[in-house]
Amino acid sequence: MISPKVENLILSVQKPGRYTGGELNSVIKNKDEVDIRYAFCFPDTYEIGMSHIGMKILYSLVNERKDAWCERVFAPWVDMEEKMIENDIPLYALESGDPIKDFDIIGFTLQYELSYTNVLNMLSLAGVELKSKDRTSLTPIVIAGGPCVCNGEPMADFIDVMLPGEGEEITNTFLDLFKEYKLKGKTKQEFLEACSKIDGLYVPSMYDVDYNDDGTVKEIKAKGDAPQTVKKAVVKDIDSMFYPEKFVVPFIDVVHDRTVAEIFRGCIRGCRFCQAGFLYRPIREKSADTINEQCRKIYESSGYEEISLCSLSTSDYTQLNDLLEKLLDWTIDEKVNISLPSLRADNFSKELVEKLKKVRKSGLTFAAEAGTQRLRDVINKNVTEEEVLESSRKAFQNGWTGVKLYYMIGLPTETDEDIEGIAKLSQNVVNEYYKNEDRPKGRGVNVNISVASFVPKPFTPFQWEAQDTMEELKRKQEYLENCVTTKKINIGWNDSRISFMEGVLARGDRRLGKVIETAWKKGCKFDSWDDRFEFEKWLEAFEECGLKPEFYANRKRSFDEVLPWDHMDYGIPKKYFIKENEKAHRNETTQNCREKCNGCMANKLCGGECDAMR
Amino acid sequence: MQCVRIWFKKNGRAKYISHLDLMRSMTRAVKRAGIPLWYTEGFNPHPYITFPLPLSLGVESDRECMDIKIEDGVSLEEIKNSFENKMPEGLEVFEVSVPFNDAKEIRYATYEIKLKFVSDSQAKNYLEKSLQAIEDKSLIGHKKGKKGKRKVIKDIPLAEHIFEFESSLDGDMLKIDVKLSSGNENNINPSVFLNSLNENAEIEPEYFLFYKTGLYTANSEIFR
Repeated sequence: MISPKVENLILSVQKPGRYTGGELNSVIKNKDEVDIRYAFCFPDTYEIGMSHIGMKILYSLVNERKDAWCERVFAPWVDMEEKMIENDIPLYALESGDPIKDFDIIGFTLQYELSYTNVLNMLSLAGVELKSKDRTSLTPIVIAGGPCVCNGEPMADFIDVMLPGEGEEITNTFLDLFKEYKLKGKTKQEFLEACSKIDGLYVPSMYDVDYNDDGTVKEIKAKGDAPQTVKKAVVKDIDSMFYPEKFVVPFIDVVHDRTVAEIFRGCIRGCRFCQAGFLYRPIREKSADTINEQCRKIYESSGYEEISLCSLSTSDYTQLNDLLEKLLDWTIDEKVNISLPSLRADNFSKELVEKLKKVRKSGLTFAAEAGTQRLRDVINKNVTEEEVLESSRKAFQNGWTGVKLYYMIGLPTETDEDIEGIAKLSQNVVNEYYKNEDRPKGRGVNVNISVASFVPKPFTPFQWEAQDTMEELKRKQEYLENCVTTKKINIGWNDSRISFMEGVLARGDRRLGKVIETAWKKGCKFDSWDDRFEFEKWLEAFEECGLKPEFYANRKRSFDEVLPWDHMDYGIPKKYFIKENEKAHRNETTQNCREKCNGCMANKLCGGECDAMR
Repeated sequence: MQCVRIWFKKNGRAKYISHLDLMRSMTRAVKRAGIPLWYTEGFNPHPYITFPLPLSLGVESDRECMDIKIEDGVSLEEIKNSFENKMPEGLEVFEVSVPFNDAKEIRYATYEIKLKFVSDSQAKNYLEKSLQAIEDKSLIGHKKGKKGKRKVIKDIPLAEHIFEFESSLDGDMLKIDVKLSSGNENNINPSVFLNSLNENAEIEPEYFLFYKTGLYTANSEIFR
């Protein structure tokens, strides 16, 4: 329940529904009957956090336990934050309204690097010490998961335990251990040491990092009994894995407010820029029956009007037609739409188009990623121009009057010719529309192209590459703008300064902790929001800490440099990434995992199994 | 196809659900309840759901209603029962009826407003000034409106929209029962009314609660 103090100010802020709780399917327990109170924090606004599937899974998973109560916490928007500070209201959890500083566990999900300052801000609003070493008692213990903890080093000062990998099983292992140590009255240090010995748990304070004079990492040393490398947690069988039967249904409009089904984990494609494609290996598919049943249950408990089939590349799901058949069996009558994000341009089949037409028409997006075949080979995006055009043609023939195309600029080995290629390919898509005799009369075509700036990420073959400087990215953006000559193509950009900072944090080391803290003290928060991002303050923070952001973003590393994340083991050995990097520089592609196993070794994580080879 | 009027309560935290959000929440509740909605025909079918009189944000009510069109063959009792355990906290369906009045017939709404002040004397002072203003017919409300595309604040004399005014004072607590114009043409939001009282008395209550207590037609019969 929200406190009267909160009630009094809530009508004076934007969207009070962000702060009230009480949504359908939110879980209320008696706090005296649980051993563990867990504050699951999403370091961004309610609307973003409530769209995140990982949070829904873990929320339900923890609440399945009789001994634990998991509650949701989001970053209050700046207007609410101001009122909370003014009225002495500490950050509270939505279900109980209780301050989270009194909880046992404060858990953050780190989905993107630019949410790091929000983590600090939320700890501060909660009245909890920021640094791990300043929090001496066992509770609250501050933990973090999500893709960013594959290199969580920049956050190492603040987080007690990180959970690299998949949370569905390790969360329970962690909670069991925590409960045991709490009930036995053990110290935080004893608990951290115990955690450090478990696969899937990473305790940053159990590792010392030494640096060379040139600023690169010299050595990462494990302390005590901590292992030299930390393995990510993996769920072997995702078909029988826990999946929620209920989603919390928000009252206010959030970004994604729909039934979500994860259809498979991992990706067979091996695009060399894509971190998710490597972090979530090996490939594991859920069966069509399981997915259909899970969708039905969530629909019945939520009333959602849309189902989204989620994965890294939906059309690579081997049972897609079967699944759509099963879903359409009931969704047509119930007037429920099915949306398929992440379709690939090379296997966008006729049957698929026809099935999609049966439900309400949504936008179609094709990821071409680069403008020329040479560069697409470099990044191993095995899609040809003809395939993009063919897919667009099918879309136009089936009544679509626009498509969206994704590209990146700043890719390794990129030249101006590749940039020009983006404009040419997009123009060819426009031309496809006018070649279609049956196009709606008097209606033009809209080709929206979204051009992101490439950010090299850990655990990809490009982890050693230099990121383009902001000046170079700006120049390339202007160049592309000059190459596009028609108004039928709309270009959407990223702010290159934001991409730069993302790149710095993504491949950062532990020394960035003080930069993040300094930037936050200067007022940086909601850095991923264009209108809140304050680049100058970040630069000042680097200056004050005596570090150079360019060192992290724009420097090409050698293969033998010790990387800040070298002690993390995501199942793919470094030599595989080196091999892939060398192939990239030779413009050579790698076949997808279904055509041929390329020996990335991730199957070892599941005892040798990989669904790509089924 | 039949049109039914669903009567529900909106209390507690649910009072912070805005009108648009309530539309979505109720549509989903109807779907969870498994009620066979009737859909408009055409390219983009959608259900028919309307609210005869939307409730302002922050106001609680024990008698709200919405009209929906559903397929034939379901009894009112069945519809009511199917909402059981399907509603979010604070929203509760207690009756389903065939609409008797048209939404256009709504003329008045009654509200109970509870106010708490920092001291007994302030509450007393506030009430005296308010009674005087009602007597003098001098209250002015500020209503947000639009002039073309521009947002403007319109000043409206409230006297012709206040039909009953009763109050009871208990220490620092003041309770006001008021009947205001309501409906399509002249809708007076209770917070507009309260703000005009605050402005007139030059006193801000420490906190306040709004309840809608009833809806009436032109001849002051209960809207049903």
